[in-house]
Amino acid sequence: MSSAEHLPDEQNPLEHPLPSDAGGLKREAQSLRRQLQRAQLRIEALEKGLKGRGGGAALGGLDDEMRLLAEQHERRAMLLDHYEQTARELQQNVQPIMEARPEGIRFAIESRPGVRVGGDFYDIINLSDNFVAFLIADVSGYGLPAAVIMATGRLAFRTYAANQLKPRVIMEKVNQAMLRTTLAGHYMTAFLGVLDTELLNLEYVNASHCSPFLIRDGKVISLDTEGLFVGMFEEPKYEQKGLQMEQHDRIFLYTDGLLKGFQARDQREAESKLGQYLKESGEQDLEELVAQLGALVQNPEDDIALLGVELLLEKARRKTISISSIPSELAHVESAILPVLDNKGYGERNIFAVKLALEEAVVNAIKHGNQLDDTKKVTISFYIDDDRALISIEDEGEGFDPSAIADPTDPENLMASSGRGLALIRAYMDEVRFNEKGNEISLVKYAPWAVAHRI
Amino acid sequence: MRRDAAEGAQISKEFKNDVCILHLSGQMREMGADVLREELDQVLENGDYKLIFEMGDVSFISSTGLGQIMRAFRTAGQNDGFVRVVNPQPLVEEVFRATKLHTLIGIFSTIEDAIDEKGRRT
Repeated sequence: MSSAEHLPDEQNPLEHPLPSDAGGLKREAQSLRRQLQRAQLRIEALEKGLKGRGGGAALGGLDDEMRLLAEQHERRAMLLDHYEQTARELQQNVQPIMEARPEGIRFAIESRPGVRVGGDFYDIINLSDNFVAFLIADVSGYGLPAAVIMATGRLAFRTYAANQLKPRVIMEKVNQAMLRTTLAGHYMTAFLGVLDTELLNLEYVNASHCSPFLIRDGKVISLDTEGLFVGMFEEPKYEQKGLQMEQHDRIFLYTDGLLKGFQARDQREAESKLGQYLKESGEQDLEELVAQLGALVQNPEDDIALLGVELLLEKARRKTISISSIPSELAHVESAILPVLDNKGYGERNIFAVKLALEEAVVNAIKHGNQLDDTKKVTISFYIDDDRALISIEDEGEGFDPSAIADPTDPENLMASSGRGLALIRAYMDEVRFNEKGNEISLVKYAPWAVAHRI
Repeated sequence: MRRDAAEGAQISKEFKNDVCILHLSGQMREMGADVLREELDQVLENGDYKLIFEMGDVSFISSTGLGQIMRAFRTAGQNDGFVRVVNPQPLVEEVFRATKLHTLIGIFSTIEDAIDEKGRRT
């Protein structure tokens, strides 16, 4: 190898193979121009910050940013001598160690280093209330920069997945974090899924990554959504999709290095061959299959990463979530319940009704039941099938007598600012019940087709 | 489109003569309710009591949102003003009807109709 090949590739952009088609060349040129503009803006901001140094606390944010950048550069300088080995170590060290695997789900992983160190990574993250996130990503470029961005990216996913169940929101936050911190000009493609391991509802976002495959009963479904690369644009719109998973479903996530294992004219054909391969291997043990796939490419030029997921258990009948008595916690409850209704086809009208009743009941439980005492919990348990949604909300308060609540639609009470919550719950739910103590309310909403049957 | 629970309402304001038109979008609910509360505080403190809530882009309303509108309605009523609602989405309009608030607060199809108080939906 010549010495030029030892430079990090961002210092020698000519080393990248050029796109072969006119569209690709144009896109790359546009993206490079954008990177250049961003870098220019950043330099201006930094210079301004330098001039104003000592100017006081207003520059705190900029100081931090400069410190971070300086640290990044220092680290890179230190590593430059043996960056290839370091990149390799870095890459190997950031691959996931599962603390506790969720019951009833199998994961099989395989990663093969390429001739050049790329930026492939994957992760499996346990979230609260029996949700698990899994992801796969591929950072642009090779060598140390790619490895550093991979480490940053993985940390960003871990950080933002901790408080959030919506893959769309996690992806947006990771994008913001990557935009602010990465070395100029690098980006990644990523697929992120969040699975409710009790109700088996999967929500996912695909940010321009190779579409993972879902294999169900010998059928192949590709999991794709609209969404641009991560770490490149200020406000990329990420589409989120969802589906109800079933026992024995398998999902395969992979990076494009794997496609080299299939003789094909283009990527599309290689993908289709991979799908076919997976379809025909339905009976094979998951770990064996993943290992076998990983070995398809001899001496891979590119890294290969593969993650197989298999559902062993049937879905649970009931799920329980506990939240602190803080109104914003309602977001968490909605993320767990509303997508399930959506995927089952309950329809906009019923989802609106459940969202409304849920807000009224949870806010009542927080404010009136638990008196906003954030050491007290509100427990929401729910069961949703194809015909109905059952939801109960319990607080730690004294309970109340629902018959003592005045009717807010009475002309005497119509002017009031409050007191409509319970009336709305009754108007929008098909059944409403209280326990004897009055600190638990149970709601039933029937699916549109089930209502038709009942009448 | 699904929205986050934390997303409240976004508001912009314009005047037609002495009528204050609040263009609302997003969600009028417990989460993010402060935005609407503070805007209404300001409007009422300014003595603007002829209020139109243009709600075409509001996708969700709960009792908290209704409570805000009723607070404005009472203050406006005590000061020879009014509160009228324009162009709510069907699911949002149903919430007004479920609570019978449409009997107090006029719902109109356009801002012009609301100003002229004509074509009130029954």
